Amino acid sequence: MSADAPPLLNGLEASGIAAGYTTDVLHDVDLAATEGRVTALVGPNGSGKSTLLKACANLLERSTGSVTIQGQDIAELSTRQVATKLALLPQGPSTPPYLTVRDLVEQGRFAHVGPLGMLRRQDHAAVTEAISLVGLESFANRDVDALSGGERQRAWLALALAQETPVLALDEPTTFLDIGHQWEVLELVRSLNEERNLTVLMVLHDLNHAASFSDQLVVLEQGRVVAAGDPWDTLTTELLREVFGVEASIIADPKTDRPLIVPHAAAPRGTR
Amino acid sequence: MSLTADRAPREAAADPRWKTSRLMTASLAIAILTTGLISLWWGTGSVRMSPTRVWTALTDEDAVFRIEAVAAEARLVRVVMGILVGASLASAGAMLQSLYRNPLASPQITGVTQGSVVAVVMWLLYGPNSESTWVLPLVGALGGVGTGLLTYGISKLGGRVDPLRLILVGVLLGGLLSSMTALVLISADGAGLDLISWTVGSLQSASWSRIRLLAIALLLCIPLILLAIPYGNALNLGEEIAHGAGVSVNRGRGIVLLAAASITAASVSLVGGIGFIGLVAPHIVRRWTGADLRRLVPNSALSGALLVLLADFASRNLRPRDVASALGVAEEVAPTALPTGIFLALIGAPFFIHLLRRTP
Amino acid sequence: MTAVDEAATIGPADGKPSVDGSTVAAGRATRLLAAVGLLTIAVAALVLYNLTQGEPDHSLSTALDNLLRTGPIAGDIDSILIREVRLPRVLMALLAGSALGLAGVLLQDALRNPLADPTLLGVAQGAGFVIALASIYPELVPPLPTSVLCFIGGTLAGSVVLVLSRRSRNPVRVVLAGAMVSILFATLSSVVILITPRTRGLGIIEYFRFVIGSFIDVTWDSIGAVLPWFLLAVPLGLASARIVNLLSLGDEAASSLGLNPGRARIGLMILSMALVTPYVAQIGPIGFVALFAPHVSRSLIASSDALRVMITSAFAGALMLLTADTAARLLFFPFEVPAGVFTFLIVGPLALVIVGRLGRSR
Repeated sequence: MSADAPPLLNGLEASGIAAGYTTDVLHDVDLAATEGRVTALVGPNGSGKSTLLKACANLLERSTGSVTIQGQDIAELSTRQVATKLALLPQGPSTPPYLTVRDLVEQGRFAHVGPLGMLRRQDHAAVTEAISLVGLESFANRDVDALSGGERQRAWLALALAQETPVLALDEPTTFLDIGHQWEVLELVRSLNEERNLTVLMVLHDLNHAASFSDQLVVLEQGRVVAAGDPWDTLTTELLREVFGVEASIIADPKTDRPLIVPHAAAPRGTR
Repeated sequence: MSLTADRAPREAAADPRWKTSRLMTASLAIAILTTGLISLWWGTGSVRMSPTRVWTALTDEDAVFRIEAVAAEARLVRVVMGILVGASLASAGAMLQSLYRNPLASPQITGVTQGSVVAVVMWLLYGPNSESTWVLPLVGALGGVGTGLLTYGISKLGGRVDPLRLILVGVLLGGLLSSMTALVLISADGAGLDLISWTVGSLQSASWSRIRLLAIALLLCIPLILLAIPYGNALNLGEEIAHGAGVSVNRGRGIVLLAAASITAASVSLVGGIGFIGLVAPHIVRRWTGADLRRLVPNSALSGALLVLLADFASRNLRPRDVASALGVAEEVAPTALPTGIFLALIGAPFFIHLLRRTP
Repeated sequence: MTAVDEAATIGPADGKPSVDGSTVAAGRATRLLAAVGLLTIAVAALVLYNLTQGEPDHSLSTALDNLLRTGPIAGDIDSILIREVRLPRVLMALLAGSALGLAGVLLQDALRNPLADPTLLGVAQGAGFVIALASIYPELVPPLPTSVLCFIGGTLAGSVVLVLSRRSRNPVRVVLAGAMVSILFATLSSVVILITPRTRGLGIIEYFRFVIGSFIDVTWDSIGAVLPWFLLAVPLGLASARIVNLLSLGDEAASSLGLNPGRARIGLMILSMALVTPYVAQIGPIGFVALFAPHVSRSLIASSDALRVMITSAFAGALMLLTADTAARLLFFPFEVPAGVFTFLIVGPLALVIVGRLGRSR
C-alpha cells in the first residue's frame, strides 16, 4: 500500500489475505478502502478480484490474513453483525419470480429486525428511503423480474442500501447491462458515495469505468496486488502492457480530465 | 393475518400485494367453508341427508336416527382433518420451494414424507402398542424429521449445504425409504396389504382424537414456522445475497428444513403419505400473493386445505366400482373407495409436468 | 466471469509448457490397459471368493474343479451348490453389473447429464406397474415374457422423464422429473392393487414376488432369460460409441457433423433400457451402479472417449454389483439383505461425491 494513504477510521482494511476455493487464489494481499472514497479492484481474468471482494465480505473463508471494518476484525463478528457494517451486492444475482421491489428490499433489513423478522417503523423507513435513493419509488410494487436490466440492478442496489452500512461492496455491478444502464448505475454509486459518505469497494471489469468512477485503484495480477493508488499514478502504459497484455495510450478525458485508455493492439507475447 | 399487523398502516394500504393477499385469504376461507359444508351433506353411495338433517344429526344428543348421526360425524371428522393436513403440507411446500429456490420442490422431494411413512408402517406392524394413536406423531416425527436431518447432514459433508445437494440427497433417501416401505409391507403379507391405501394417504382413519393430536402438534410448530419465514425469504434470493444480508446460510437452511419437516411429519404420521399438496398449493396462490413467505405461507395453507377437501370429496363420490359397473365389469373391481392421496396424485402429476415444462 | 471461473482459468494461464500430445495419448492407452487389467483381476478374485465362501465353505481347488469341468454335473452336494446355486448367481451379477455400467455411459453422454441413472429415471416403477397389470389382470396384457414387459414399462417411464427434461442439461430437473414419474407409477400400481377384488388375490402375491426380486431366486433359467438381451444390446452399445462421442459435443456440433441428435438420443435411450430392464425382473432394481461406474471409469482412465469409458465402466459395474451381492449374501449370514439396499448404501454416498464436484464446477 502506498505510504501516504490517509489513516483509516471508518473504512475497510485488509491485510495479508490468502484465500481461494480448493487452492489459494490470493496470496498475501493488502487492501485499504478509505472512508468516504470509491476504491475499484481491477485486473485481468483470473486475477482474483472477485475472490478478494468475497474474502473481504466474509463470504469466503480466508486461510490467513484479517479484514477490519471501522477498526473491528470481522472474524470476531457474527454474520448478522457483519451485515450491519458491509453490504455486498454479488455479481448478476438471479431474481425469483413474483417478488415486488419492496419485498426484495425488505430482505436487506434481516440483520436489523427482531428474531421473527417483524419490520419496525425504522425498518420501513429505511426500505422506503433505499427505494427512493435508487429512484424506484414508482416501481416499488412492481415485480422485480418484470423490470428492465438497469432497473433490476438498481433494485438490488436498494437492497444493499437498506442495510444502512458504512461500507458498500459491489461485484461488477455493470455486468449484463447495456452501456447507458452501465453509466446510470455507476453514476448512482458515485452520487451515493458523495451524498452519504459511503465507502465503496467495487470490482470493475472495464478499466475506463474504473478510471472514471474511482478515487483509488487496486490492480491485481495472479492473486497479488501489483499497483495501487490514484488512477493517474496507477495506470501506466507499462502496467497495461505487462498486466493486461495490451498496447495502449493513456490520455486525459477532454471533459473530466480523468485518465482514458485507448488500446491499439494486443501486446506481443513475451512482453506480458 | 397476524403477520401483517406489524406493517405501518399507511404503507400496508399503499401496497397492492398485501391487499390482494388479504382478499385471497378471505375468498379461500369462504371457499373452504362452502366446500366443507357441501361435502358434509353430499355423499353418494352411503347416506344422503339434507343440510337440516345433518345439523340435527350433529347437534341432537339423543338422535333418533343413529345411522345418520354416525355418517354426519364421520364426514365432519374427515373435513376437519383434511383442512389441517392440507394446510400443514402446503405451508411446508411453500417454505421448501423458497429454501431450494426451485418451484418443483415439495415435502416428497426431501424424503421427509417417505421417512414418516416407513417409520409409522413399521410401528403399526411391529410396534409394541399399536392401539394408542398418540404415539403416531412422535414415531412419524422421528422418521420424518430424522430423514430431514439426515438429508441435511449428508449434504453438509462437503462443507456447504447447497440446494442441489439437498435435492439429490432427498430424492435418493426418499427412493431408498419407499422401497423399504414396500419391503416391509410385503413381508407382513395380509396386514401389509391393509396399509397400502394408508401409504398413499387416506382420510379414512380420521377421528376426533387424531384431529386433537394433529392440532396440538401444529400449534407447537407455529413458533418454528414464524422463525423460519424470514430465513426462507432471504434464502430465496440466493446464498450470497442472504449471507450479505446477515443470514448464517447453513443455520438458515437447517431451520427452514426443520420447520417444514416437522409439520410434514405430523400430518403424514396421522393420514399417511399424501403427496403433491406441498407442490401444487403454493403455485395456485403465488401469482397473487407474491413469493414473500409472509403472505405465501398462510395463503398456501388455505389453498392446500381446499385442495384436500376437493380431493376427499372426489374420492368419496367417484368410486372405481361405480365406474366399473357403468362399463359392465363391476365384478372385476373391489367395492372400496380409493384413498384421497390417489386423487391428489392424479391432479398433482399432470400439474408437475406443466410446471416442469414452464420452468427453465 | 465469476470468481469460480477465474479460479479455474488460473492453472493454464501459468504458462507451463503443455505435455507433448503423443505422450498424453500413449499415457492414456497405458492407463486404460492398466485399469481394465486391474478390474479383471479384482473381478476374477471376487468370483472365486464368492464360489468358495458360504455355508459350507469350499476349497479353491473344489471350486476351480467344478468351474472348469464340462459335461454332466456330479451328484455330490458340493457340485450342485457351486454349479447350480452359486455360479448362476455370480454370473447374473457379472451380466447385470456390466450392462448397467455400459448403460450409464450411454445415458450420461447422450443426455449430457452427469446424473442420468435408471433408478433416477423411474425405470423400476414403470416396470413394476406393467408387471402389476400383467399379474393381476393378465387378460389386459399380451402374454409376453417378463423381461419384455419390464422393457416396455421401463422404457415408458424413462421416455416420460426424458421428454419432460428434454434439452435440459440441468441435473436437478432430470432428478425431479424422475422422482415424480417414480411416484406416479408407484401410485398407479397401488391403484391397481387397491381396486383388485379378493378373487384375484393370487395375482397380487405374484406381483409382490416380482417387487422383492433378489439374487436368491437366480437360477440358470434366469440367466437364460437375460442372456439374449445381453448378447444383443452390449455389442450394439459398444458400436454406438462414435454416436455417443458426437452427441457429447452438444446438439449443434453433432448435427453440423451430420448426426440427427433427436433420433440418435431416442435410439440410445431404447438401447440403454434394453441393457437395464431385463435384470429388474430378475434381481430387482439396482441403484447407482449405472450412475457411479462411468464416473469412476472416467477418472481411472483420464479419458472421456465413449468406447474406452464403456469398456472400463462395464468392468467397474460388474465389480461393484458383485461386491454388493457378496456383502448381501455373507455379511449378515444366514439372513440376506437385498443387493439393491447394499448398492444404495455403498454407492449412494459415493454418488454424493459426484454431486459435490458438480457444485464446485458450476
